[in-house]
Order: sequence, then C-alpha cells, then structure tokens
Amino acid sequence: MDTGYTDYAPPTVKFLGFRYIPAERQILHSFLTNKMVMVAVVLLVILLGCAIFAAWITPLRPTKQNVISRLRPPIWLERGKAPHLLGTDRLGRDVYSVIIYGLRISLTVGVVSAAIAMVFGVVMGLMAGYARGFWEAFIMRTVDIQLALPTIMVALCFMVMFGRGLGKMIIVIAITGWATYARTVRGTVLSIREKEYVESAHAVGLSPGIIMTKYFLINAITPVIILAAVDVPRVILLESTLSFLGLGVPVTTPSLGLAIARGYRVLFSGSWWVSIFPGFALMLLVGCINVIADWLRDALEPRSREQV
Amino acid sequence: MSIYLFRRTLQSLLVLVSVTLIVFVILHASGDPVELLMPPEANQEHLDAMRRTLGLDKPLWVQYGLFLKNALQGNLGVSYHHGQPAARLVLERLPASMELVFVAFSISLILSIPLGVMAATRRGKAFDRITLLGSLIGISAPHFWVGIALILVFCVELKWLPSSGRGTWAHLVLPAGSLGIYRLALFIRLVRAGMLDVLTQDYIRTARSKGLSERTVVYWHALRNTLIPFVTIAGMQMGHLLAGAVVTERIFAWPGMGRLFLDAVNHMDFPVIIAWALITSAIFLTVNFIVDLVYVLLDPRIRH
Repeated sequence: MDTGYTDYAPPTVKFLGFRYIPAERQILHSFLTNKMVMVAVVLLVILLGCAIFAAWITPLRPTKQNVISRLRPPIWLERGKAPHLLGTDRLGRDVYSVIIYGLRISLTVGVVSAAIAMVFGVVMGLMAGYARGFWEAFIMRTVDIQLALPTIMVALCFMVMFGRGLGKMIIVIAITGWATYARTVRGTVLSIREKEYVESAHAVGLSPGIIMTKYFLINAITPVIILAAVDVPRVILLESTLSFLGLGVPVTTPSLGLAIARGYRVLFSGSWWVSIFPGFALMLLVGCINVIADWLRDALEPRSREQV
Repeated sequence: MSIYLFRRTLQSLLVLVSVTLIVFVILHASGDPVELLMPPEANQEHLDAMRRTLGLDKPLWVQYGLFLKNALQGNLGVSYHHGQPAARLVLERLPASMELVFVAFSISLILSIPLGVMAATRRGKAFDRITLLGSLIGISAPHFWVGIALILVFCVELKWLPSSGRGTWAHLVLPAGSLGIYRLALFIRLVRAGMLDVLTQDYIRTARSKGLSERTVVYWHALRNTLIPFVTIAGMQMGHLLAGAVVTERIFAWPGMGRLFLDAVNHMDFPVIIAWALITSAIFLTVNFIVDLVYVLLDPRIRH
C-alpha cells in the first residue's frame, strides 16, 4: 500500500549500462529522505527512553495518592501546583507520572504480546506448511475460526474467563493475533514447497528442522516483519481498550487505558486533563509506530497490496 | 457456485458451533455464579438447591449438550440477573446497536470515497498530505478517547449535543462519529491506495488516450475498479464495528447490546454473556458471508 511517505528517487549506479540500485541502499535512502519517518523514529526513541527511565524523570510514583492535591489542573492554569506538571486525578495521583509509567505498560504489552503471537503463529504456519494431512487441516481450520470472529469479542470473552492481570492480558492479546502469521507463513511455504531446491534438500536427507528454518522461514521473514510492525499498534490499542473497560490490567496498574477511564468519570466536573493527556500520549505512541510500519511495508515490499 | 455456497455455509456453521463450545467452557470454568446470586447467609443446602435449579450440578458436557439443544430452539438460558430469557434481552437491544453501527458505517463509507479519490488524484499536494495526516491520526487515536474528547468539546464546553442516551438524531451524532472515525481513516487510506494502484494500469492509459476527460477516467474507469475489492474489505469491517461498539456504548450510555454485555460481566451473568457472544458472532458471520457472495458476483474471475 502506498502511504505517501516514500516519494523519493533512490540513487542509481550505472553498471554495464543498466541502472542498478542495491536493496539496502534503497531502504536507507528512503529512510534518510523521509522527514515524516525520521520524526516518527526520533519521537518513538524519546517515548521509549521515557518508558525505560520512568523512575528518573517522574517527580512522583504513579500510584502515590495525595488527598490534599486532588484534581489539580495542569501547572500553567490557575490552581495548578508544582510538581504536578499535567495536573492530578481524583485521588491526587500525578497525571504526568501516570502517563510515563503507562507508556511502559503499553510498550511492554505491545512488544511482548506481538512477539508471542509472532513466534507461535510462525511455528504453527511452518508446521502446517510442512506437515500436510491432518495437522495442516487442524491448524488451518483453527486459523479460519479465529479469523472469522471479531478480535475484540474474543479478547473480551477470554478476559472475562481469566480475570484481570497483566500477564493474562498479554496471553489473551497474543491469542487474538497469531492466526494472521500462521496463514501468511503457510502461504509462503506452500509457494515454495514444490520447488526443486526444496525437493533436493529432502533428497539429500536434511532434517525437517533445517528445511523449515533455512528454506521456509527465510522466505517468510519479510512478510512476517511487515505483519509484526502492523500488529504492534493494534496490540497497544487493544490493551488500552480492555483496560478502559475494566477488563485489562488491575486497577492499581498505571495504564493509559485505565487513566483515560478515570478521567472519563471526572470529565463532567470540568477536569479534562485527567483523560485528555493520557489519550494524547497513546495516540502519539501508536501514530509513530504506524508511520514506521507503513514506511517499512513500502520499503520492503513496494508491490504489496493492502490486506486489512 | 452452489458448491461454493454450500461449503461456505458449512464453514460458517462450524465456526458458530466452535464459538458456542469455547464460550461455554470459558465461562463455566471462570467461577461460580451461585455464590454471587445468593445472599451471604445462605447455607450449603440452599446453594445446592440453587445449583440444581440452574442445572449447574450436572457435568459440564451434559450442560453443554442441553445448552446446544436449547440453543437450536432459540433458548439461550435465563439471565441470572434480570430473570428473563437471555436471547430476548440481547435481541431487544439489537436495534439500538445496529442503528449506531449502520450510521457510523454509512458516514465513513460516504465520506471516505470522495476524500480517498481526491487525495489520490492530487498525490503529493497539500490536500493529499492533509488527508494522509488526518487519516494517520484517525487510525492511531484510541476511539474511546476520541469519544471523550468529543464529549468534552460538544457537551461540556459548547453544550450543543447530549452526551448520553438515545432517541433523537442529536443523540446519535457523537456516538456514531466516534465509532466511525477509525473506519473513516482506514477507508480513506484503502481508497487512496487502491486508486493509486489502478491509475497506473494499462486500461487507464488506454482510456486517456481515447481522449476521455480526466473526470470520466477517474470516476468511471478507475473508481469502479477500485471499489470492488474495497467494498469487500469495508463490508468485513461492519461486523467488527458491532463488536467494537461495546466501548462506544459504554461512553455514551447508549442502550445497546454492548452495554448489556458489560453489565452482565459485572454480575457474572453467564447466559447473557453467552447470548451476546453468540448473537454477535452470528451477525458477524452472516455479514461476511453476504459480503463474500457479493464479491463473487461482482468479480467473475474468482467464481470457482
């Protein structure tokens, strides 16, 4: 899908009269000439830094309550009070600190969940493509069932069963994501399974493990990277949605979704900062990753068509 | 065609049965509703009696068999909390949810096509860039937060629109807007990408070289070919909207299925949770089934 971020002319090298552009140089060049992606990467690094060094850059613990400083507005408004840069919530928790620690939760869930879904999905896809027969049918029917259902519904039902919890939510979100990887990887395996070089690998007696990794996995890497990049924003938004509904992390966890839910409750009394700032941080994070994911897809697979 | 229809129907039914199984096992493994239902001073005898009345004393597979048999007759159990048939409770709320989904979907569809086409034909220009940035924000902002921001602006500050309830058109504007914004952004990107792809095709060059006006080329030749795959993907999104409406209904106190479900979660009201999941899945599957059929009818190449 063309996303408008790659309007560039890569440098060309004349070689025997042909124009030759090495792939790495194309990717690097498209990166360096693309302001939007550069901004997104810089912002993402800053957000990552905030999440990692949360304890050093926040004035207060995100769970610290303070009855005297309840619902303070941001510091630049009347009644604003240091050190509450972005104000406080109904229990006097510092909104800025909650956001910084919340980014940590969002990123952890985003990366870990997406990684689990990816590894599991890729292994299942390789097995389905390699095994044929019963296991292939079994895995692929499971994939069909999974993809035939709305993700948010599946996630909600599983969270009702498991109850709140960070680890549980990471697993549940991973469950909702693996099927796409499995389908894609199996597709790649099917397309090369009958090729001569794979047959000869079988003939010389290479082990299934080696054939799966050195032949099948290598060919599936590009689509898997693209899927993973698109999956992380989805995972982060799903985490915040579940937490917002009270079916995600426990209420004491500094999560952006929970912070927005708390802000929603005090919205009508005019305390807009409790929900607006965490949501803005979330949008910034997801936006950066989306820009990078789009660019990655265009750069790695210029001919790829969008498949939602 | 009829073989395709048959296989597709069978597949949908299989999915539906798996949903019943999964939801049933999940929810019965998750806790004992009897203790929540009975007053704390109830003794063991009372608890057992309640279990028997609800059929919770039988082994799980017997319960599932009974459940499946009843489900086929349209009986999904009686809500623990409301004391009414769960299926009826959910179906009573269905029109409200469908109204929300339908309006949100229509808005995003109607706006996205001209915006996407205009962005594609003005590629790299200011209009294109602004549309792209807007759609980036649309797919990156959590839609419950967009809803809250809309309430802040239009209900708390400007006091133009009501923030909760259902009834008039004014009640529908904000919920439908916040539910539709993600799809709108997504659809704009899809239409734009599809148009850019189609506009490089040979038959477009042929159409131009025939001397047709740019307008005819874009809106007649290119758009038509963009819309076929687009409508399929968009149609599939309609089912997702129904499930995603849970969040919107919570924020705007919209009396739909999603709110019923969230209340049921708080009360551990299993029959209602199951009924919600089943009815949502059934609608989702039906919509996707119809969309698939339409696609097959529109595109003769994949009529296998």
